[in-house]
Amino acid sequence: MKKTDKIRWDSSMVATVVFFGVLSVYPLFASGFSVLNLTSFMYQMLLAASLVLTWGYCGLFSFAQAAFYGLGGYCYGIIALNLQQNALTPLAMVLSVLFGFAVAGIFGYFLFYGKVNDSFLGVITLCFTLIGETFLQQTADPKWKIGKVALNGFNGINKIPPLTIGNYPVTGTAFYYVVLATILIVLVAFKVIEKHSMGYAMFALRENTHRSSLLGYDASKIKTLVFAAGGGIAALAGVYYTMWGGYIVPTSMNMTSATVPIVLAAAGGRKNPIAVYLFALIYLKFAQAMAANGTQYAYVVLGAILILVVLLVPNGIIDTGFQAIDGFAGRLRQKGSKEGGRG
Amino acid sequence: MNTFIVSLYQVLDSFAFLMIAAIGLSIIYGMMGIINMAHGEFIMLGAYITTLAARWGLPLGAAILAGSLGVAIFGGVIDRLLMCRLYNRPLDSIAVTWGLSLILSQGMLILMGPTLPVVTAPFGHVAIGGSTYQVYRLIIIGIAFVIPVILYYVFSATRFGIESRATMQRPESAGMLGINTKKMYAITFMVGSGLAGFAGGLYAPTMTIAPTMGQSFQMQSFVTVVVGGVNPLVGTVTSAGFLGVVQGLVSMALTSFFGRMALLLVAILVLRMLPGGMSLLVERIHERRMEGKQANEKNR
Repeated sequence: MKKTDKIRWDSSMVATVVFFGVLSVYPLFASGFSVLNLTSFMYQMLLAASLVLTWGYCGLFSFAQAAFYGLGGYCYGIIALNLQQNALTPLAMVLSVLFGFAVAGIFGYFLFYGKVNDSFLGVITLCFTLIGETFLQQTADPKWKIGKVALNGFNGINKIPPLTIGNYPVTGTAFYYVVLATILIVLVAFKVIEKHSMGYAMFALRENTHRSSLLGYDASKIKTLVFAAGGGIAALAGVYYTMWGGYIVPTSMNMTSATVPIVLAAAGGRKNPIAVYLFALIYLKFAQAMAANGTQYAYVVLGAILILVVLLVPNGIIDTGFQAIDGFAGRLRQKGSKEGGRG
Repeated sequence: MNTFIVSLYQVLDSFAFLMIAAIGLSIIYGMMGIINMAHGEFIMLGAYITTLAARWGLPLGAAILAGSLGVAIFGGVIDRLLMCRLYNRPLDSIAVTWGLSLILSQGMLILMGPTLPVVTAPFGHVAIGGSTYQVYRLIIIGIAFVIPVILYYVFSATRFGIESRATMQRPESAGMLGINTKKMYAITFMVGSGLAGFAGGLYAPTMTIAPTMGQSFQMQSFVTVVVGGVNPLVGTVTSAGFLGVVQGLVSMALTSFFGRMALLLVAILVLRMLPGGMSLLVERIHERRMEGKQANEKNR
């Protein structure tokens, strides 16, 4: 990335600044409950972001992000409860992310070096996630434990400690800022990668793998690395989920949990991380409001949104909106400069 | 000896379930290249219609037919509204049909509540060897063997069957020869939906009728179709057979959870080694035998 690259002030950039600006000051005037609520939305945004990387940038349609989410959460719970020392929870967090990265890397190696067809990738990753869920569901017997921690089948692991720095548990507003900082860093990292040669390589692979490999890009290696990175990000989201609620259960890896991030990424605009963040926030808030009002229509609405978006706006509602705004603004600018030139 | 019979029953039971649940999905996938993630919900609809019809007074056989017909008609409507825009777009069809499955399962929950009183399976039990078996489930196994025979007859000896095979293999050429491919696709989707309804109706007396019952069918039929490949007859039969053996034996040796995990693991391995699924494997074996025969004749 050259130092002379200026930031393009398009609608996405404006939206990003407004988004993070509002979220940074939100805790100052919102209740403790609202802050906790928004935190839960934010780690789901992080999970959807992992799909932006694997699917939006690199074309890898993965149902497995939920698996890495759950695995990250379970790993954190198991390590934290085995160590029994809350001050070591940051270590548990780092190890869980590395675990997610490693599992995704190995799985990716198996898939991409075997040149698996793109459309089968979705199926294989779905099977992988369901194997994980089924395995964890049947661990109810006390013999299923790692170290001192029983896996507990459907009930999952409970009483998991939150992130603790020294003697201070990072909960509530402090935890909110940790998660907010994470999604901001991830967004910035994505924007940097977009301009970097690694980003271009990913886009090339997304558009036409065969042609890219003929041009000299090591398709298998890049795809494996991207998939592993996506796994690490998803695992981090899972770790935050576990820290937030203090528990982790097998349903975090079921078919619905696997598909929701895909829907969020597809409907928001999978190539544009801020579009996905915005859509995730809007959708999650909306679904929660519907559920709280006692209507059972939340899933019906989600289904209808998905159908309409894929059929009518395949690039995602928010991203198409950004592009429309940019197009309109561009035309206005052109009109202005034409008249200015003539006058 | 009895363990052998029990194992055989387990394997055949798994085979029957996979075969009957997957055949509708497989025909749709083979013809139009779309994966219907709402297939489980179509099966659920068939089960609901059958149960309601049976409780209303129809004999079970007629109720099952009513279920198949009802879902076939519903499938025709869905095809006209949604699916016709998704032919040969497998990824988009996954997203859209998953949305449809959400609407259907939640909609059914809102309309009819969490469960429905069941219809019990007729014909009672029979003792074979040292164990007893439900006669109804044995009948289902029988039906699972009859379906491929009927399909073979339809695909090889009826005009409709031959036209649909032509459309599956070379849609453009088939169109140029005068086959109405759009009508073919619509009819195929209706047939596939009807078979899903049939599966739901058939299994309705053996399970709890709930809006989420489609989920258990969905995953297994989806895996069976993908492992089977594009040929609905050969692919589904070989895939259901192979996966049925794996799932049946592992479920017996360990638990049904492990049976399901084994099914998924085998699916991953097959897809990695044989991307075209069982259909491709059978085709290659067939080609090699043909080449062998031709070489033999030349040498004479």
